[in-house]
Amino acid sequence: MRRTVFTNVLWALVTVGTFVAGSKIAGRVVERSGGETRGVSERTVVSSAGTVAVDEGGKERSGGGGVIEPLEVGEAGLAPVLTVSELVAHSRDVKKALPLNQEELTALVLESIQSGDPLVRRAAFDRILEEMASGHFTAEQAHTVRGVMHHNGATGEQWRLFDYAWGANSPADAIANLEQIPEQYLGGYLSNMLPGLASTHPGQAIELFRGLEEGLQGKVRNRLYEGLIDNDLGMATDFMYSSVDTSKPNNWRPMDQMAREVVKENGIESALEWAAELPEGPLRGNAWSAAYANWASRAPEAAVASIMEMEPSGDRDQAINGFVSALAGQDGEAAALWAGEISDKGMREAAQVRVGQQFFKQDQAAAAEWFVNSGLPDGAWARIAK
Amino acid sequence: MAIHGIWGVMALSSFGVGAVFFPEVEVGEVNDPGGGGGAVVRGGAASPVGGVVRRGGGVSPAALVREATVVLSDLDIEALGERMRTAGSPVEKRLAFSKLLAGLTAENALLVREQIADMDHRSGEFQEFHYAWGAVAGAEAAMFGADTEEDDMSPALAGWASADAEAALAWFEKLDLENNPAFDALLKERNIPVSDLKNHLMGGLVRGIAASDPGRAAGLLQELVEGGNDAGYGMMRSVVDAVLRGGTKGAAEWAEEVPNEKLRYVAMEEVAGRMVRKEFDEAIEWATSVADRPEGGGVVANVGAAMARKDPGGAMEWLGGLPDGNGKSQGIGRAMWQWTERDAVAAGDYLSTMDVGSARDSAVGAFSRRLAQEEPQTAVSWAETMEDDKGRILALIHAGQAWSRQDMAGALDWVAGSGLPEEVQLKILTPEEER
Repeated sequence: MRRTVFTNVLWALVTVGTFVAGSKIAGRVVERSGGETRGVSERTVVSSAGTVAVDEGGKERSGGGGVIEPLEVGEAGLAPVLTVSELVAHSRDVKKALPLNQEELTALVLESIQSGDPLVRRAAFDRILEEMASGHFTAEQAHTVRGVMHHNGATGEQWRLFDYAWGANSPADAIANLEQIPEQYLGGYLSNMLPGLASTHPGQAIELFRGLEEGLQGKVRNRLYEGLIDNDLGMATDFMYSSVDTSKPNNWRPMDQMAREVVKENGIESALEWAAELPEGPLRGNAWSAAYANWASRAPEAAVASIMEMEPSGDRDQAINGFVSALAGQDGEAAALWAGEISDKGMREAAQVRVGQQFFKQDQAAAAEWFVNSGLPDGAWARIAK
Repeated sequence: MAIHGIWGVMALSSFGVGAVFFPEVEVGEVNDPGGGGGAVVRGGAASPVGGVVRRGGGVSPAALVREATVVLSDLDIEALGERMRTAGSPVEKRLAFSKLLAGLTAENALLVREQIADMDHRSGEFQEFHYAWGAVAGAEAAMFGADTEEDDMSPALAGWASADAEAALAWFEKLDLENNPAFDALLKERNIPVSDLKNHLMGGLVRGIAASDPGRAAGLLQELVEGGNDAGYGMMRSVVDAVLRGGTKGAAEWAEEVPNEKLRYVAMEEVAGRMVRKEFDEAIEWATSVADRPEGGGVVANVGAAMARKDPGGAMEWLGGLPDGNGKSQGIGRAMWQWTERDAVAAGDYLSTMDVGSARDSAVGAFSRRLAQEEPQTAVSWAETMEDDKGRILALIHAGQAWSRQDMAGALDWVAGSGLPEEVQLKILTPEEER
């Protein structure tokens, strides 16, 4: 009897030992922080660094984070440590993780709105964004979140992020929601959701956009561009060229909007590189002009320096055209002088009249004096001074 | 033998269970936090996270949120900053910034700050960074702002106060701004008055304390205003902001309990201003219930003005039914001002139907003040019909001054025959320049 008990106890110890051995061999070395050990008395779940979205081809795009499996305390009571890559790898197993239920989502939304601590609010909303990218975020979860956000005064920024993330990660649900959105919120919802949709599912976004009535298209076009640019600038450019009727002489606005989005998303240098590679034609001119207008409003000295390095050319004319458009509101006189540098006669005169109007509002006498030597026909003064 | 066999299988199984489900983990190389390897994440003394542990009877949001401590190397920080600047997706940008905040320490704060240096100092991210820095580094974070152009001392103090109110307050009480050269840039180069700077810093502290303990924050303000510093009334708004996060109804109840009367007035007025935008019917109900209290004046005024924007006649009827008091007078004044702006003819017609009394005087006074800019003579005529002497004189001075600016000769003629006291006539005929 005693021998049996002894045998069983011995085997029990062996079993425990093999468990520990398996844990140690398969795992990693536990880090000691500052010579101290930290114990964790509860199971800890850590989320990863970024979200994971899936594109139309089923390909994952790196981004945010998902919930991962819980980690138990190590043998010495030390907190488990993972690298971010390991966490991201864990997050790809999110299908195994339990989705947040209605109560949990509600609690998170309320925390993200009501907590007095901005860091706590941020963390709570981040958790929702991560859940949205988890791959198992459902329409029901989305409606739960939206309902709580609506009834508790979520901020505009939270709506923008939520709808963007929804469009990017759950396109079918986000598009289906269009039928449930009240008319007065439709424009706002599309403005938020469309760039997210376009960033991961550009084809669906373009199809949705083309189905909108013209007025609404005008309101959300730049948002579509924003998302398409996020996805791929070349594809966004192709869409631009395929959708704009260049035979209409004054149809500059779409490319102007796109160029401004390119500057906003990628910076002025990238925007200029992109504009320089566009095929010759009115759209290229619009892009160049818009890029320089944007640059002039942010860093006029740099824009001037760039123009001065350019050889006389159509591109230089467009650059000056855009530059003076931005400058005229602040310094009509300088803008008027620069407008005179445009080599193309038609563009020059149009620009001079346009900036001359601003100049006239700022200083009638100086504008009149400038006009005398501007080279403009006498009849132009009536348009400047009206 | 069988027993050994069974135990053998169990031992092998136990090895597998330990290896697969309970591995001990180690830190790896920190390289690219942008989507591959990178930051080390250590599970801290955190609560179980959602999706894993379900608790009966209520959910703690803190338990659902990542609690791990993030350790970032300099490369990680720069990479996250780059991702924040270049990512197209606003969600990616946000999460990259969140990661920077999660890994923020007193040691790496300056490098993290470099990543947001181009941001507008009024942006949420800029403010949140300094808040977070204040929470981890206290005075060091706050004092950094003494040398910068941006408004970063206040959010740093708010963060510090949210983490350790006692330490932050003790530091502030010992602060000698005038004799501390660290503040020369603000006081001597930018010529900010000492009292203004001190109030600005106090505002940050109040905001931080209010985040978790609005009652305590209100108590601090009570000491401030009772000590003669009226800046405390303005700071009350940030306390109300914190309370309002929990909903307007709760905020209304809280505001009614603020001990200091003037602060109570400010709090209630501020809550009413928010309530009318979101829960209009509730706002009307609340205003009706507090109309007879002195501190209810701001509530009634806000609700009356909001109502007048949609239905001025309805607003005047509702206000007319309230008990007489400061609130009713203010409310009528604001509602009538609104109405006069939109439709002076209709507003004047309504005045003709009002009975003589304090309510009519409030309405006429506001009507006259608003009309004086465009029609000073008409404004004077109406002001002359006010019953209360003091109110009438004030209204006549205002309308008369407007008349003087537009037509001194006409104003002179009227004043000569008005019977007004000499000093009042002089005030009317020597108006200050309109701002």
